[in-house]
Amino acid sequence: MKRPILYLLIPFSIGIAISRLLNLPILLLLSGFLFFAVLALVISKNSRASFIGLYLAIFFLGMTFYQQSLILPSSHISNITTNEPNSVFLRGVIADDPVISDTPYGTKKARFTLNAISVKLNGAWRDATGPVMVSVNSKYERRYRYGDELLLEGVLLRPGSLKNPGLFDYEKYLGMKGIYSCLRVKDDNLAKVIGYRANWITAASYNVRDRLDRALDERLEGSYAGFLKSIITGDRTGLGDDVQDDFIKTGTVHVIAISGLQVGLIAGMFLALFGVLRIPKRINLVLTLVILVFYSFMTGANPPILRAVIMFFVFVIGYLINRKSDILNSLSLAALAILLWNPKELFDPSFQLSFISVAGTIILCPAIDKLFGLADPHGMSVLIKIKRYLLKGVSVSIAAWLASWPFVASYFNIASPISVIANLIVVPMLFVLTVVSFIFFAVNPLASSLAAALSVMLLKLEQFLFLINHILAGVPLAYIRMKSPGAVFTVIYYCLLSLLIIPRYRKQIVIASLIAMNLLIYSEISGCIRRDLKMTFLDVGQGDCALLEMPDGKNVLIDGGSAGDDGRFDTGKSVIAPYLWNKDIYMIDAVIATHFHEDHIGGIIYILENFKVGCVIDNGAHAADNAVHDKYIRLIKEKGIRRITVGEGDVINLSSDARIFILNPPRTEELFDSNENSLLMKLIYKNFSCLFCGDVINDPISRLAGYGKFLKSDVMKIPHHGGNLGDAVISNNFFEMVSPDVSIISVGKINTYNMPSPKTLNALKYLKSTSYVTKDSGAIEIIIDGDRHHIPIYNVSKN
Amino acid sequence: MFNLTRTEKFIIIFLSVSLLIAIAVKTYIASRPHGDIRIEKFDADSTRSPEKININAAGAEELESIKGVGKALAERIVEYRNSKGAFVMIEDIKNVKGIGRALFEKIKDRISVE
Repeated sequence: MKRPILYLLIPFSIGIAISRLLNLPILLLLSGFLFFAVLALVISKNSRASFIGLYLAIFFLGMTFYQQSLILPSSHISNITTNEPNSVFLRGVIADDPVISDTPYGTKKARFTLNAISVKLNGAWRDATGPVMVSVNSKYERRYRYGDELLLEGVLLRPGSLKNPGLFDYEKYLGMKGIYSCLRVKDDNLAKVIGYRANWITAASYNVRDRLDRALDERLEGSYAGFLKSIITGDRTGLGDDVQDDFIKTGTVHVIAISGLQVGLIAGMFLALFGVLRIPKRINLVLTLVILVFYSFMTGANPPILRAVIMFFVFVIGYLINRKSDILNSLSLAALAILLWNPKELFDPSFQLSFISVAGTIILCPAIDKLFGLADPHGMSVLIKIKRYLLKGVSVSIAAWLASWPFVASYFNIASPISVIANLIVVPMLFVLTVVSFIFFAVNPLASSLAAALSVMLLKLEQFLFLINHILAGVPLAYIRMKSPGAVFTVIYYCLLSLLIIPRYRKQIVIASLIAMNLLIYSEISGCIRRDLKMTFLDVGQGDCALLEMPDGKNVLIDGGSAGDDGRFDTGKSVIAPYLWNKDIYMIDAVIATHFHEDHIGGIIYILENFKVGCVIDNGAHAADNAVHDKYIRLIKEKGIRRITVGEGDVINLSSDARIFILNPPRTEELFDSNENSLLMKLIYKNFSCLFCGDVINDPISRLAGYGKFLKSDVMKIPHHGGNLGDAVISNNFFEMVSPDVSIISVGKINTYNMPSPKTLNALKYLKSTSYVTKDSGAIEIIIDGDRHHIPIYNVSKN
Repeated sequence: MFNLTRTEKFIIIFLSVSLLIAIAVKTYIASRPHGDIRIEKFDADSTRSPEKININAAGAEELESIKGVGKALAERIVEYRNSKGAFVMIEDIKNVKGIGRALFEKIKDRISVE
């Protein structure tokens, strides 16, 4: 058996994956493991049956490990963390390098992981364990460092995240890393440093990291420093969104996240350096290994780095004991080591991407080489050698892309065929940049003028790289947006890919894959031919966003949540666009902006930039000093999108049986931008009606009362995120006229206005209206089939 | 490389053709034209039920705006009010000459007394 660990890894990871789906009691799993382990020993004479027994034993071991990782000690901080904020005192030690970011309010925010020691809740101190994600509103650039023991006063709560079907869930991601609690601290006065308990090697590595970061910041600006920081020290905070997007589009994003490739480059660099210094090979290898371990501490030891360092470790050990190591075997060892440490890493995107692309390269490359006719390099001319080298690069690029694109597509909704070419340019550039940066770090403290010259060189190289990348991203069909491929397709795809390397059962695989693909696509087609209306109120935090999918295929987006220029969360990019792509929607017939406040049109900007939009509909108000509004106007002019201004008395005719009546604002010459002038729309589809109220408050509410019975609706998007509407008598009267069966409140967990207001909730309760609040229920889908409607709520508590 | 028998060839070709058809259908569904979105008008004023007219305070012109009340009738209502005093209930308006049961049923939702 050439690769024993690969055969351990496969049943072990399948066990972990299945255990997450089944959630069986741990004792049962443990006995399953013991049973099959004993069985395998007893029947060891029959080697085949014995192996099957062994595989099953390992499978159950994987399941046991996963279940075991879910069990937390009773002192764990998560046991006293709830969805509602609790005021607590917390003592603990900072476990990582704090990240400092700017807030839109001109202050700074420090974020770090704190290992809890004790906590004071309801007046009594008690011991605590486990990590807490802490954020402090800080005035300082660097007040908190790794190893500081802190006494904090703040509110403890669950991380909370936006819940939309099929989309990235930050809370789950943190759970994978074992973090279930969050502490918010108002300011520096509530965070006292009371001691220092650091692990010296981590402290030293962060110290080096800090120096390197500062050296880059001194010489270079913005994204140029940010890019080098992200490829060398793993600090990605300084990288601009535009640059990052280009790397995603060209399929070279692995460069930005420190990957195994980077570890390999650094290993190669130091091996060469020590080689030149005539250090004996054995010592050279050990020294390089020590440097790599230090490097992995410095960059936060994410799965791809750990993977590469473990593989290098195996190689070094193999060399020292004169045994050649099989590369697939050491890759498996790296995966197994990480999964034994934390089985939940199996579900971490960076773990999956890293291992699948490396495994793909190792397994597929020989087959692709054969297709290219790459023969043994005996006695060839220089020209042929260069050609060979290039073809080899193409082959690696293709292999990595073929192996990894379904995973990339499911996380980024993108497939980039251009990456095969882009990597041929970006990877050598990465190598050059890394080498020059290290020379720069070496000479920076010694020779200032030389360092300045080197920094100019780095700048030019980076400008060239960004430019090339930008051009490649702009090539037609460089990348296509697509929906997440889904488990069934992914399995079929890898079966077909195996045709390249497995000589047996080819016929059967082809036929089985074809049948499965037929079934898949025909079931999708039958799903497309729908005859119902679907409304989705997306969870965009504090803001509004609703998607209408009409029976005739039209899509209408009403508002788009908020976006941030200041590094805040862009819902257009992170929620709406992926949600639409996952539904195979690339064209929107109408985008309606109820009014121009940031929490309603912020996210629309990204949609206008990245989707085909038929028309935009708004109230035409004059919005002075409103940057988002200006962007919106500029974009629709640039892209030549039809703009329709509507007001009271207009009907948007979507189809023969679906119309939207506009009831507010009244038609006047000049309209100023305000909540009062929000579009208020009544959608009528067959016997069903829904009232979209935007942020309408105060005066218009009493004017609208004039519509009397016309207001009555089945569903109502409650005005202004459920806040107070003004005079209680008038607003209660308004709600009574609408008396919706179902009311939707779109509001974020954190808002400064204490929305939704108890008054509004009580009024709805009095009317016996079922209300759904996005901050609790997540996205709310309503399916209207003829005249009935039902609401499959996206379940938050799952997992 | 595959060494297919006749039947196997047939199966593979059949499945591939059916797959291609499905892809074509799917692409058509995704790219079919959606039809225009048109903006039309509706009569907001008549959809909105206007406020009731106070028959004790309204002038003749305002009373005329009630559907079914003409100029002469409006003047008679004002006259009646001036000579006999304010209306106590809206039903009192029936005492005005020319307002019968039928007309009252028609206008009763539009009038009030204060």
